[in-house]
Amino acid sequence: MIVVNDSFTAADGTLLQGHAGEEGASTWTKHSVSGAAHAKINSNRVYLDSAGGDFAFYYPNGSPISPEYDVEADFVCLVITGAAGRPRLLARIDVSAETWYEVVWDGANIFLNKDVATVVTNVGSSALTAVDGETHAIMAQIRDSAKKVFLDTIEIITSADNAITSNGPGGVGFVGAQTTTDGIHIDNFVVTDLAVEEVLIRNRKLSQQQRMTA
Amino acid sequence: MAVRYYVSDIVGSGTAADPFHPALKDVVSVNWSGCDLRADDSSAGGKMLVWCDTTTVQHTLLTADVRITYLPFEDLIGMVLGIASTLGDVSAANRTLIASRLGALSIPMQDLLTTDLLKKVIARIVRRVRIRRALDLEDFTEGLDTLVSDIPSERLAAIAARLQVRGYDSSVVIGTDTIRQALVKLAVQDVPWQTNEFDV
Repeated sequence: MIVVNDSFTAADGTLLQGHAGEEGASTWTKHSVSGAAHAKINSNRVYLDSAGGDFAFYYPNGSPISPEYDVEADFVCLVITGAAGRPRLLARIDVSAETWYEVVWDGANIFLNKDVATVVTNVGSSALTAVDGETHAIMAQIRDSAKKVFLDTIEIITSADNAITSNGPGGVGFVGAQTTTDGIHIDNFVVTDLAVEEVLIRNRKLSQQQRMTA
Repeated sequence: MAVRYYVSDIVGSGTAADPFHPALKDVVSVNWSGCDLRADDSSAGGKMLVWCDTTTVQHTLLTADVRITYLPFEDLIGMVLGIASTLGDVSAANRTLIASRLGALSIPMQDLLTTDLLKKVIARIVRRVRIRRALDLEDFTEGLDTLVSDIPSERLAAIAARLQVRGYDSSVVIGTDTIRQALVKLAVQDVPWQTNEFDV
């Protein structure tokens, strides 16, 4: 079930937090650990307007009902002249601390990281060189059993890590300078929850086991 | 090329600019996946289980690196086996090496059978990590052959409490168990967040 769907359709220059997506993203919140820079919309894509700083993280109000969900977006390479802005997908975000899983593309490699209270651990990587004009679909499949990263539907990273278990929302972030014409911008952000039935089955199993161990 | 499994020291400082990462990355810079074996994400040091498709040259460099321990899932002629192979396909000498190397990390595998898939060995490592994370500072630091009854009662109570919070049934562990046996009894329990990619 899709819980968030945002194609970032808005006038150029619109702040991400001032924009409403198609579904489950009637508001976007700038995470409190962000710097002064703001994500903005340009050509119906979101990028980091790095005036005043160079990092910012956002999450929509639509939140999955369980910690197991997919978060995905298209990563659009414009002219890559610098660090590409290191755009990222975020998952299981703690909305009051810098804690989340993140899939970061720095223009040369994709990394799967866990960031626990600002302590970052790299738990997987895959090479991908940014080419001007190309677009790639990147998806983070977040399950208790595994965290997987898919590039254009091909699985490229699998980690058995499950250090962050809370049911936080998915989101986007940027670290590094970008302009309207430079860097890797993000489009078509989607969060898809597990089917409600699957969550109910999972919760039923959990309560049965809790009864058995009580 | 073949997918091989290594236990690597974790290096780095944990900052965004220099994240904690396996030392293996010095040789295999990208295209690897891992599972953090630490109980505490913020602590420097510790180990990570890493799997990657390595060339012979990379593998030679990795096995020469004291920060990296190779898990030799190889048969008698040195062919690297996939995780759908069984423990029985691994040469006896390599099985002993694997058990010894994992034992040094407080990961018991002596109860596994030669008919068990190698996937189950990896699952055991991941499940042991989740027990370690549940126990955190109370994790077993004694040798695997230590009797549970030799652990001070206050600490045992703390261990049991932590396990129960995470949904483990600690009552199955008895005083005459070794820590090895206790860990196996806990690792085989299907606690919801205990399931992992490698479970069979």
